Amino acid sequence: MKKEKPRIPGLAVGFLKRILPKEDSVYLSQNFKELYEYRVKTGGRFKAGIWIWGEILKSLPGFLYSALYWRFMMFKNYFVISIRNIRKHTLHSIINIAGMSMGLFVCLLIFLWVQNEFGFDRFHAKRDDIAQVYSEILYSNGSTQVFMGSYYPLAKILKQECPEVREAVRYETANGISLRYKEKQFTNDTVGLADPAFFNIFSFSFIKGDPEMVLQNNYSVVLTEKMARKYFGNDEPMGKTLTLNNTMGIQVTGVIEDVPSQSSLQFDCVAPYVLKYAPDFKEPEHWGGNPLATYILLQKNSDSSQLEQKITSIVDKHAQWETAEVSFHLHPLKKIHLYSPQGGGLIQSLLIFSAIALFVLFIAIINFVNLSTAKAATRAKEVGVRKVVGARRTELIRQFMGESLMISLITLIIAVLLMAVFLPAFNQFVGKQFSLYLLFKPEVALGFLGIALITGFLAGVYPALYLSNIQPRSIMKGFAGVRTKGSLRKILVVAQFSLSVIMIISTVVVFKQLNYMMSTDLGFDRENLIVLPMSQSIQDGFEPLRNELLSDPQIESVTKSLQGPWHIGSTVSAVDWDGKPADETVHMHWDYVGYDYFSTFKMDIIEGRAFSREYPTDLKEAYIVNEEAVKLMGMESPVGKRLSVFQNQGQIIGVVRNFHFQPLYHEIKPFVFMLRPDSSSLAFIRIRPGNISVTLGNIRTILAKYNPGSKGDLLFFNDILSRYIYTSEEQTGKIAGYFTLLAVFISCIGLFGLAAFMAEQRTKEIGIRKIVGASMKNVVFMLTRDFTKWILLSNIIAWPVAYLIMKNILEKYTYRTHIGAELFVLSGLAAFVVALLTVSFLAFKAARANPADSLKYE
Amino acid sequence: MKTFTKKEEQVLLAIYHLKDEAYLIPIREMIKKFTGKYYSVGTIYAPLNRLHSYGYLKTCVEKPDSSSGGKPIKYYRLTRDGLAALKALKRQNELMWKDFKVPAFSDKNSS
Repeated sequence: MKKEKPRIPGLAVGFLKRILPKEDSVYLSQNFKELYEYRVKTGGRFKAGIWIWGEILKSLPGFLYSALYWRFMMFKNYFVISIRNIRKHTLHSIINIAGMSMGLFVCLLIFLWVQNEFGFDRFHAKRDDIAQVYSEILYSNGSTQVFMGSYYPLAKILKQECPEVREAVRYETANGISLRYKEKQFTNDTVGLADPAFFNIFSFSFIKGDPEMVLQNNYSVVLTEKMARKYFGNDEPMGKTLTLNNTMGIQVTGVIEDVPSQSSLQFDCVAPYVLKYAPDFKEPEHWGGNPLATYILLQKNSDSSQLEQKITSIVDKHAQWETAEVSFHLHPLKKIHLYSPQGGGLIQSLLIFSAIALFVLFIAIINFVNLSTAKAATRAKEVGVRKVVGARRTELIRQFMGESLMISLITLIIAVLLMAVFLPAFNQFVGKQFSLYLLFKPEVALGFLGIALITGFLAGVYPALYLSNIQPRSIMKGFAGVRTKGSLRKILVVAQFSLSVIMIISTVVVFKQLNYMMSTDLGFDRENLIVLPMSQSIQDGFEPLRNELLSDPQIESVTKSLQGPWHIGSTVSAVDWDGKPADETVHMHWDYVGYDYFSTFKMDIIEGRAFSREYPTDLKEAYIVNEEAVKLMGMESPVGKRLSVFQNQGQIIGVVRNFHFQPLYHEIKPFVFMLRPDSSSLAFIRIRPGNISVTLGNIRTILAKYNPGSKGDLLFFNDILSRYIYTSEEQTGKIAGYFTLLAVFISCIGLFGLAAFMAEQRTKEIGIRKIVGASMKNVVFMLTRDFTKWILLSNIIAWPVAYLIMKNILEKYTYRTHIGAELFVLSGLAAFVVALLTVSFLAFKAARANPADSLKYE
Repeated sequence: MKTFTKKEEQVLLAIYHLKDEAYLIPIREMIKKFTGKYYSVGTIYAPLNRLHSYGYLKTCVEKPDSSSGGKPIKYYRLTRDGLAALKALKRQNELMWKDFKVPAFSDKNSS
């Protein structure tokens, strides 16, 4: 039998190929083979096999060292070359770095915000099993309405009858409650009211007290650390008694750490829910709509859709709904902060802003790609030389990618510096307290770095492929081959400006709508109207307070009501009038108001009269309805007709002109007013224009007398609209406005760079043209013609897209501003003018140049 | 002149002694002759590589013949710079070792 030639084991060969330095791998594996064969001859195949693996292992450090050594040498070279390039092409680098830093800055801000909002409610240990129960009511006319508020007996019944529900608690917050310890009294604490199992469900960290026991006693309270310090200073708070509304004492049974800012439940202290019904603790058992939330803790892995059906049927048994069908649903804790069950929610704003931020970044990336490829000629020689001395394409790609990553890291540093400057302003827009210390959080730091690197990658990948593809042959021929038609560049510029125009139009639409909502006639006078949330002590002393206020000639009138006519969502279906179809369920929005309500708001009473002190019966049996309600009831002359609301018989004494009591998303619906001066929570003060700060000062002094301990939070009606009702419009408008400006700016500096490059390329051509008789006008026209075409094209692309976006933005508003074609034309024109100015600046410069200078180097 | 590590010095000298026959395996054998120890392939490859980057070594690839199993071998030779560096190294070493004698002392006295 012929003896086979000994061979290295296959696995070892494969392994060697992988670890050996590429340029020498053939020779080195040859060497290994030789040694192996020698071993086989002397010691046999088995021993040689073991030996070769040992040898490979021992060689690893050496090979690794060599590989890194060469990497490092090349890296040093690349690094030096990049720095030189950045410094040599100053304009190009400034445009790239400035644009990318701004794009990155915008992205980082939004990232900071998004990651903060997504971090909400993460600290609860049982977060995956917690849900809020809400109801959806299906009316007989087919419309549905979602209520986050739930029902008094719901929690108890769920706990008793539903084995999947481990715990269920009622929760609501109350404001304006006065609490006192010795002489320290405050009314500005947010009091959470919750059933005892509250701290079993939610994981707030306890400093003192046993979470299981703290709320067992009806007169107990759990304070946050901050609140404990406020009332007790450095004294031991446990066991001390706080006086609630000057009537009863509640004992501190626990202290928790301050509620994290990333919690959707915010409170200063928590008291047992039943405290609401002290001292007799008679809890309501009816199934009326209520202002409380019900949270449940589910068994692990329970099927929520099945449970929803089960809850619906259980409640159906107990409540016996007469008029409507009510179904129950679960809103998981993880979604409570971001999603609203009606659809939309915060997530929408986050998506919009993320999209805008990405647009801005994208525009900056386009600048980088455009300028890098346009300037390819300047790098062509380098590429050629590298290729001739043996650089492979992958190495060149790596070099150029590395360069763009380096630039992205530089821009990251600048972006963080920009953040340091603009963070306070941004905080104001989004209502957060971000600080640069967040950078020390690993997820933030890694996120920033990741965004910067992805940006670097996206910006660098096309230029790297493009530059590394340059053939040395064509460079030797004198750059002729390097010149491209640049069609991609054109497409990118068009994309850039289309985005800019879309952003301009959308922002203007948001602003116009906001402006419309803040200025349109709501059916009452909203200027110079002050809103004052009343604490218990103000409610108690309302009449003297009112008289004192009215003694100021600058104060026109004072009134009060239960709800504020910026968002009245509660409806009543227990309405009846003569001639009402028996099978029909109707709903009316309603409010309890005080005297002088209509004169203070300057609402028009178009028929009948307003509530008056002269008619004592008004207190019980008088109703004022709006025109919609009249239409609903189909009455010819409504005044004097019988109407019963909440099973309370009375008659209509007046009709008020339709007014907006909800944000302008909703249309005006039937409304009924009842006179109940004692059930109110808000006071409204109408002041005369002029000297407003003095008037406000007077009001504050008067208030301080009636409401010691409160800071006197006076708000104008319009402030409430912009701060609480149209917040997202306000926010979107402002942030989108600034980001759009940035986007336009970045697009323009990109265009500037491109134009500068083109003018430079055509210096000689311009010189010759001028010599043979071209006028300055001709030259400028020639240079700006291309850009003009691009910008016009981007407008044409942008308009239909912007139209769709606009339709989408305005869709949710029932009452919307009119947007005509002129907005599109004007926005397009604005972009066009800015771009043209940018380009023509360079065109004039080029056209003015003396041809003798541009041609003398031939 | 760059200072050499011990391994670099050994590799340079081995190549010097091997003249035209210097490739990785004989170099390894030669160093074994100097020190009585076999270095692993990688341990020799690293200084070889580094010396090449300094410009002290040049390489040439021999056509495959039957003795190497039909595959090319990379030979290393000293460049002029390499030789100069060795010369300088020798002078340095001689300076360092000049007048070296094992002193006659006994352990008892030294303490």
